[in-house]
Amino acid sequence: MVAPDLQEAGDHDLVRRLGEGDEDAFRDLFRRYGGVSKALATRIVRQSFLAEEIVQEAFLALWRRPDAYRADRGSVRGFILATVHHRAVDHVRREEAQRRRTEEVDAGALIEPDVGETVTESVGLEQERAQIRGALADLPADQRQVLEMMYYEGKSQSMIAQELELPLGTVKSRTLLGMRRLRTAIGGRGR
Amino acid sequence: MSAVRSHEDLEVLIAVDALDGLDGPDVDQLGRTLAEHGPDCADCAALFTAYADAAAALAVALDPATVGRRAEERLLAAARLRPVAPQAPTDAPASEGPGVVRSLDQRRQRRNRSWIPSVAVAASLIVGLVAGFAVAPRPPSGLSAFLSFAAQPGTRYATMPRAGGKGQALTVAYRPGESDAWVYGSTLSKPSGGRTYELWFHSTSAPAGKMSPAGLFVPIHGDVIARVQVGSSFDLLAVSVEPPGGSDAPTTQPVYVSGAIPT
Repeated sequence: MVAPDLQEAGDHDLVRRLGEGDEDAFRDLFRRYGGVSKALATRIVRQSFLAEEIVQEAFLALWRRPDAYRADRGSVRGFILATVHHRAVDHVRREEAQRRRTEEVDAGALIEPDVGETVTESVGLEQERAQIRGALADLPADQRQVLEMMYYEGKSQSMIAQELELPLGTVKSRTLLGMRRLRTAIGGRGR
Repeated sequence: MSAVRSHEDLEVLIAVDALDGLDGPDVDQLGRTLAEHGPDCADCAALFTAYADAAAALAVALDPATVGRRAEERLLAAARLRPVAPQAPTDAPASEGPGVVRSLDQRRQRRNRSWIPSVAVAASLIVGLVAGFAVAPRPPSGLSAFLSFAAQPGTRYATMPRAGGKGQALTVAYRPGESDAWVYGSTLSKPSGGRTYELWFHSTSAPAGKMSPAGLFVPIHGDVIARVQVGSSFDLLAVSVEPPGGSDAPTTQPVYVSGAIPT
């Protein structure tokens, strides 16, 4: 397993090399985070093909503007995943009505298997995944519900308040409390 | 509003923002509160980073999706279309990742803009190419079609330097034995008077000097990506400027010419 600090240092170096037009660095970054990026986008937009387009956009954005990433503002992984999330949420909110109709058909059928040799993901991610899942499971159910609706389904706080018939302030406070707990539980793992 | 109260408000907004859970007016409120609080607050910057990492952890919790070599090759093919942008400050969006205290205006703009159809992979990055669809105006989905084409095994690339050596070359992506091909490039000047660029190919079975038309294209914002039809076997490509609607044979000197293309 690669220590998080070493992993992060490696990520920084890859981004630096993107600035030199280094395709190998670009490929390495995609191999590290392409899988988790696609999982995230697929979870939100519910269509494998569309998710792949979003992921490609996000990585190409980094390729085109590697200077958009600032090391003092967080991890490379966080930057990539936030970019993927922004784009997926942008899409899903705009296409909400259509997406709902599509989901009613059969969401499972829309997640098509990819073909070809699998690109490997970052070393050590599996262990971290287990740790984060544990932290999520430890959250109070009402806080976990709000986080999952917001992050995985791309719903805004007002949409969640309406759907759960809760005051907006309650959604905000549950989100804050849940994020505080999650932040504490994962410690510095994200950096 | 006191600084302490302002900071409490900010933490809620920052936590929700990390999950992209803010509505448009909330983003405005975050911007206003930040401005009142002080945009260079180190504690707030730390909150942005910490909550962004917490949000990323939610992504890591998911089972990773399968990503095939085809996707990787398609991504690299798209990257080759456009080099890394200069690192000097420009008016292009600087960042959309986490911990971006100063990017709220950009994010508002991003959320307000119309979504380029999903199949336009890299549309925000290759926007000029998307806009440069030619021959006939095509929907942005053509870019995806091109990237799929370029990612197929056996695809070859023939470059056509600009006559006189000034400016970037045009490139044709093709596969021997197939007539479908794509021409793409940047920094093209737009022909005046409604004239158009026309791509020509010399079939290996044609008499010397006999060029056949492959398609018309007009750049938009200097960029072009267009589907063309070439012969199944050719040994020379060229581009000339022709009257509106194109010509049956070149009527002007070529502005782009390839070298000898191995068959």
